[in-house]
Amino acid sequence: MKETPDTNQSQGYLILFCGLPGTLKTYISVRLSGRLGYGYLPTRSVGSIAQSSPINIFQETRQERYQALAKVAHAALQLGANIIVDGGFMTIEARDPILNDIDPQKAMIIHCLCSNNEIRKKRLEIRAVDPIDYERQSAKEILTSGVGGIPLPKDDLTLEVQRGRIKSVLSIDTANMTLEWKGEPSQELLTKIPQIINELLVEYQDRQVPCSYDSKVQSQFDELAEVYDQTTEWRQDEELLASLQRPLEQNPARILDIGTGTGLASAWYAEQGHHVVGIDISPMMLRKAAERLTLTLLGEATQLPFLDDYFDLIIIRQSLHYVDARRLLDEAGRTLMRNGLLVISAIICPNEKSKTLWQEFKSATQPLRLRVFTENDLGEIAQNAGFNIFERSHHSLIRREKLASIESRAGTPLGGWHLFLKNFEKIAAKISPELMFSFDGDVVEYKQYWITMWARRVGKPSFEPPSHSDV
Amino acid sequence: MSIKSNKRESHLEERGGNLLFLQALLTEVNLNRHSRILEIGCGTGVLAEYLGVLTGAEILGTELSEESARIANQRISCYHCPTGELPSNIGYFDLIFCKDVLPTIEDKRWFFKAIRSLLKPQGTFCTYMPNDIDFLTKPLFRFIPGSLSASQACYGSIAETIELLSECGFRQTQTFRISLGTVPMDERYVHKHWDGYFSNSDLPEMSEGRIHGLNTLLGKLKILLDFGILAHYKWERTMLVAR
Repeated sequence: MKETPDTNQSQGYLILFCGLPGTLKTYISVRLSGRLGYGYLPTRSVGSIAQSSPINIFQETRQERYQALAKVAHAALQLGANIIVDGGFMTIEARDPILNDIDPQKAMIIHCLCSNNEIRKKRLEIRAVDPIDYERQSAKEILTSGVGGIPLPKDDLTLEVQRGRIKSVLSIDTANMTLEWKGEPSQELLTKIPQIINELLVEYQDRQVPCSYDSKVQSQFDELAEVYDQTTEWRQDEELLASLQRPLEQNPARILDIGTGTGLASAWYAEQGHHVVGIDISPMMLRKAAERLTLTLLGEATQLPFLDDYFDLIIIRQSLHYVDARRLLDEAGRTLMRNGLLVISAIICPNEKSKTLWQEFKSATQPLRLRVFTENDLGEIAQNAGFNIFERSHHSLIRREKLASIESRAGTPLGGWHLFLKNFEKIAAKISPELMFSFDGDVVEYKQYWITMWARRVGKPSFEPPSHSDV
Repeated sequence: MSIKSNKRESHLEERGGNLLFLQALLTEVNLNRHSRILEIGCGTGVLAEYLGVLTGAEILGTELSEESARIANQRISCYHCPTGELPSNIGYFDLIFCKDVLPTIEDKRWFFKAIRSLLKPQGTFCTYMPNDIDFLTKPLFRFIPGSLSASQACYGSIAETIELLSECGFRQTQTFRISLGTVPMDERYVHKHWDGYFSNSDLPEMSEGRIHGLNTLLGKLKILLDFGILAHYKWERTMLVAR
């Protein structure tokens, strides 16, 4: 018997959001995904480099973005995930890649529109000045050329139902807050989705929740970013930050901070006059980083949108745990100049025994953490990726974490977290006393070990690096 | 993409779920420093060692793999049992438990009877297994659907298992749904199944389809990973506590 993947039978559910900018489709889709427990895929997750710069090599067309997004969406659906895809999808060509080859019984479109152009114009004006809104350029252009845009032809989406590519369409007019179904929605969708969307629209009108495009949100994000800087001890630790700093031969040098967060790790270099680019997947954090660094980009660490042999220094601070570390370092090696510098700063386990224990602890309390490293692991990964380590420094600090933060990210185990953490305290005391793990009923406390490794890229570049005047 | 089997490596590098299972075990079974405990298929003895620390009890283990048994012996007393037999003359136990051993046992009646014979009269047997929903929602089977029925056959249903436990002398079996965390679906996860994770899919005629399905899965995971999405699924099981 030959086994072949059966995609349709096990496909997750797809909700595709269509609409012009300024019709609240992101506001609604991101919250709907949270309330339904669906995965959220924004168009910006593909070729997400909104800012144009000489070093950005991913200048994709919108159609290329849709094609790439379709690949990601299909992979997630085939794994059985339910997803919401948030994009414009204003033409059949744009929708084709994602709607082809999926089970129409498990797909619907939500079309956001705004029948009052004045309302839409106000929304777009706020977006156009948002420094990291990935569609701000588009918002500016729409405002310049008139807010009309090209709305969807009246029967365009109904045709998708008639063609059998989807089962139903829900149109939401966000000017007068009305909903209209076309096609044959399943009974579950018919009751659940309108109820959630109506709640979201009421919340939006009452401003009980911040809207992504509300000017008040700017300051709120800033506050969140400030809190982020202070949430864990290591982020602002002076000794740790100093271990990442050294005078550079080039001035100004080109520096890349991978997984920059709020830009704390590389801010010192920007203050020295170097050109510092920070890349991160979190737009919220980048708002703060934009104040500290030369350029900030929304993007993925394992697919860096930069030329080969470009940077003089790459900084990677506590970002290796969440991605494929080897692939990240391969990408760092590709974009780093010959003899360029790499500095890795990361939390490590002091020995193999504590690594095993800590891996078990993290898998229970922080489910999405990928890997736990020892110093040897990190050194081996860096060397295998073509880096020659020439300096290591060790640091430690006491980490305190509230029980509430563990509860918020991991489900409750049989017997509860109190028992779990008390038991872990006993196990750690015996197996890995160097962790100094304790739990007082409210706060978990333990010793966190850090290493900062400086390395040089060895090996030949694929072509001669461009001159520094490009920046 | 070239793939090499790392079945042996993954066998030694067991991780995840141990602390949560341990907690579930301790919540439902009373143990103390006078207890005698046996883990069947203890691997490198990580869980058994933690259980020993928490209870102070005497912990013994059995293990098929010589290399794993060697490492486990640095943590607990472990018997190397190359054919899966249970050692004799090792006394009686208050608790016997195992994690992922059931699908490898062909004659479960023999297995449960052997366990019953090694337990003290008030002793407890504990294990966990997937229920019907766990099987149907496991993402792996979307890509190697033929292995679904093979896997179900290897485990047997929960109802059948409870009935069999009863026939083998256990008076009562309770069930609890437990969370063992999440399983990240990275390359390691795919490689783990390369040589055939379930006994029926080890057959040579199944290999081609399985490799094809795993390659497809690997491709999908790579697409997601390229855009910063790490696929994972919730690892939940039904814990059986038989007395």
